Amino acid sequence: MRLAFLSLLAFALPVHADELLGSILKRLAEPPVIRAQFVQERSIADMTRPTLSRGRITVSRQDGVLWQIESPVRLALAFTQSGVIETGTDGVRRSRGQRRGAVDAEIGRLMQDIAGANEASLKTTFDAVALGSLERWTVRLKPRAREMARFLREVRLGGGRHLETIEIEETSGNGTAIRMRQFAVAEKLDADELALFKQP
Amino acid sequence: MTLRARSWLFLAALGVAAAILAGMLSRGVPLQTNVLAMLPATERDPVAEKVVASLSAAIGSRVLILFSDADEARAKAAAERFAAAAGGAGGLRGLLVRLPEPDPELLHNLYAANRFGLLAESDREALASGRWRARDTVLQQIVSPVGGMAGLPLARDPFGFFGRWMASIIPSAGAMRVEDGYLISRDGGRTRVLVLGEVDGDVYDNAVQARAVAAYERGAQAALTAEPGVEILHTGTVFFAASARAAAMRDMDRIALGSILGITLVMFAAFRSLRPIVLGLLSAGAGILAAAVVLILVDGELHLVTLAFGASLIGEAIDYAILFCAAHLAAGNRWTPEMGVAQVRPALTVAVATSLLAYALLGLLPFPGVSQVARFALVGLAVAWLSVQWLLPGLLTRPSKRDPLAATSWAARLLERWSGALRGRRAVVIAALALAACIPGWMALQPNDDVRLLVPRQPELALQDAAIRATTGFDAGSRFFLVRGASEEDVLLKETHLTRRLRDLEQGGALSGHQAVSDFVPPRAAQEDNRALMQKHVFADREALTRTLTEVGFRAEAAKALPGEFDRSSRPVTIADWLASPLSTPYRYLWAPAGDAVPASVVTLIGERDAARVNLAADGLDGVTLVDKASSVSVLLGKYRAWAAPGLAAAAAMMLVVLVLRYGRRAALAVLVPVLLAEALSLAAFGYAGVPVTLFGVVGWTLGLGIGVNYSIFLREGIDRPGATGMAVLLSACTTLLGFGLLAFSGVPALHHFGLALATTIAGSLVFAPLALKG
Repeated sequence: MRLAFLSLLAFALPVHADELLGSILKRLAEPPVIRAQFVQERSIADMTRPTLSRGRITVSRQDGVLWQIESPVRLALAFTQSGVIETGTDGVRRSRGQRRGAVDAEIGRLMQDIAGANEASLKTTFDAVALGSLERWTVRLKPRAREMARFLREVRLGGGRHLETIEIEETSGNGTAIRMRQFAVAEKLDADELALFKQP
Repeated sequence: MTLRARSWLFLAALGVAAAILAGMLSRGVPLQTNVLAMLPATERDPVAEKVVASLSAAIGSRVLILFSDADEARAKAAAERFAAAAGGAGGLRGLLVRLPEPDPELLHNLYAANRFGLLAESDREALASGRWRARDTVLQQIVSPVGGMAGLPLARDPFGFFGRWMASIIPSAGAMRVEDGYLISRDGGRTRVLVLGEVDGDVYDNAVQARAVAAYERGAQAALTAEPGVEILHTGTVFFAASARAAAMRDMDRIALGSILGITLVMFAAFRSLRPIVLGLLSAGAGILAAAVVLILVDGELHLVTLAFGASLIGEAIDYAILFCAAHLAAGNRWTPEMGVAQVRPALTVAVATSLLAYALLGLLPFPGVSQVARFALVGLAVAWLSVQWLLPGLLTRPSKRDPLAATSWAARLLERWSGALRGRRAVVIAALALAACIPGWMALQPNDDVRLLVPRQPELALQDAAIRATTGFDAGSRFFLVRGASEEDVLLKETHLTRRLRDLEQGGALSGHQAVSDFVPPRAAQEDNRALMQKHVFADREALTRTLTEVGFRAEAAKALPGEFDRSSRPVTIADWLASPLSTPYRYLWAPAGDAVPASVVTLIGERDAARVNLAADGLDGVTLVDKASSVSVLLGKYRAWAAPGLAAAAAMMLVVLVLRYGRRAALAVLVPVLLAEALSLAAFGYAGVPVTLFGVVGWTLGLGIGVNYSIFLREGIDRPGATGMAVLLSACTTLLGFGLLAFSGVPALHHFGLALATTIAGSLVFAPLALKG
């Protein structure tokens, strides 16, 4: 009853857009670790059809974002503030973007900021606009700096309590749509996951 | 020739010298402030030496200015305002607030067509291992949410080889990020914007320094006016050099003023007349004037340190005049100038001979700076000595009106009492006790050969430098690797052996980055190897490749175009291609630094955090040497310091020869004992006080040996006139302490150590001088 009243109140009072964005990001950033299943559809220029892939995403407030693709190929990508660490099919690992300022490092940071809802960093990197309500929202992110605008056109996030969709539009015409479900909140990463964040 | 005529002739000669010096001054004194110019060539390899010279201009001219504010827009605006105002002022050039937008076309023109010979380390390893699978790799590129985001379209680079190689050559922005061209870092709620620039001209040129500092100040002022409260930090060799120069100038002013005031007071107290002071300054001035003129004529420029030293040379040069004036005072109405000269000549000559010997020894050191100081002293003292014989007699013809006994008896009594205290066995006991007390001090002596002793780093600037380094990861690094080979290709190959190790260090955090030409243009052999690897593992079976690509979803024409492109691109990227591209402009100084005739390159380092590990990177690599001017200089300083003990012993031995000729064996030893005791005590004092033993302290002890022995000589030669002699020795020591000794208060560590060593030795020599009367 009280919940219904509160949500009615939230609906009745138009929340300032910037405030909405802040509240969304704050709420997304609450759990220390959150896991979900994802389905990704990627459309690439010069390809006849979109490519579907499935796997698990794990967002850790402390360590970064872990992207574990299970089909059609196995690949784990650990996005951290300093770059991307790849663990391939055969367990071969390589780290990219040790040199900060490099595109890989930027992308690693970008993914961590987006999936990890890093408010301060998102706000300095993008012009962000939030629409909807705290229960059902979308956020549009347009890159501010020309370096990123060269390859990234727009990122759209959507969700409610959790981040449920990520849509990435690249300047090359490539596009990515990611849908997440089956969310589970945890206190910390398990050992296998932590191992994927270790520098090779 | 009469005494007067000779004096006038001497004065006329001084007048000519003064005119010449004035002429030189009016054209601007060539004053050298680069301390490295004081030092000999350090690199055994002449090419390395040449490269050091040409690169220190490129590296040393860098300035970094960091603007920080809680508000990002204000930090950026302040940076823009700074660059506009400072750039307009002249003195700083190439002020870069925003990096120019890189043109992707340029990268593609240079590399894309020949990209199949370019592989990142990890891809080369994967291909060579034989475990590489085309299907897995292309799928990973496709399903990675960020695969192929930057660089070529996925169809042209389906395995991501070129993208990863490009990522590996993007220049490091240190700990900064490039945003809209701004170099930015954010933390603790503040945004920091870095502005890069270069000094317009030689960093060690006075006028250039002044213009650069003025431009900085003008820019900072403009930035603060527009955006009050913005924090501005700056660093760069030019700022350190300018502040060191200002400090040395202040030191010199202070020391020269202190010397002149102190010496005047002491002399007036003793002589109750201004005449000896005027004569003393005239004699010392003649020496300094002559030395300055001769050295500018011979060397073409004067070093700052020589000038500072010259200011304190007043202290020794004036001793000779003091001896003469004391003789005048003690002679009373029996005075004739001829008699005076005859009285002081033996003491003066022995004293000058020993001093010149000590300085000549210094002059043999292969340090251009130290040798200049020594030659300055040689000329200055010789002329001062001549002036006592040829100039002063004509100016001091009338006898003193004061009662000689009343004027000098205090000195005679003091001398008597003091020699009494050091008489017989007591002297031996005191000396033995003093030496015993020295032992713990000697044990505590610590050497220090750090080149930074030469360059005082203003603490405030050093703090800003450290803060900028911590924020940006940039430093003004003066170390680099020189790579030499038989040919262009050979140089590139040798470079890659080095860069592989450097990359490991970068992974380990010992280094943030490096710049090497072979990163941009891998050796031809490596490109051919890479191409062969691709041929074998990727393009061997064209049909299978096309099938894999179409199966994962690429359009058939795109899949078929790839092998065609591979076949067409058989030519490796060359140095000539790279040099012809505007992309190479910022790095061109890395290639052929010693001219096109010498195949060589330079690998520079960014953000060294573990110098010891970087030192090892060139170990065992043919043709690769770490060039570290600062540490080469330190090693050199250490080498000369290590020569100190035998050098001092040699100097003492040479003096002993002169003394034995004059006094015989036993007495000569007695004359030398006081100064040797003084040196022993001075060394112990350094140990007790925790002052490190440096080459400059050693120089002080060497000079102290030459000056300290004078007091013994004066006493020995003039003991039959105890009043005049005692007074002369006391005054000489006081004036020397006021001259050289004040250097102990200098902020320049080198001068401080020099002054301290000399002052303690002089004080000790004075105290023990009566021991010279034995034997």
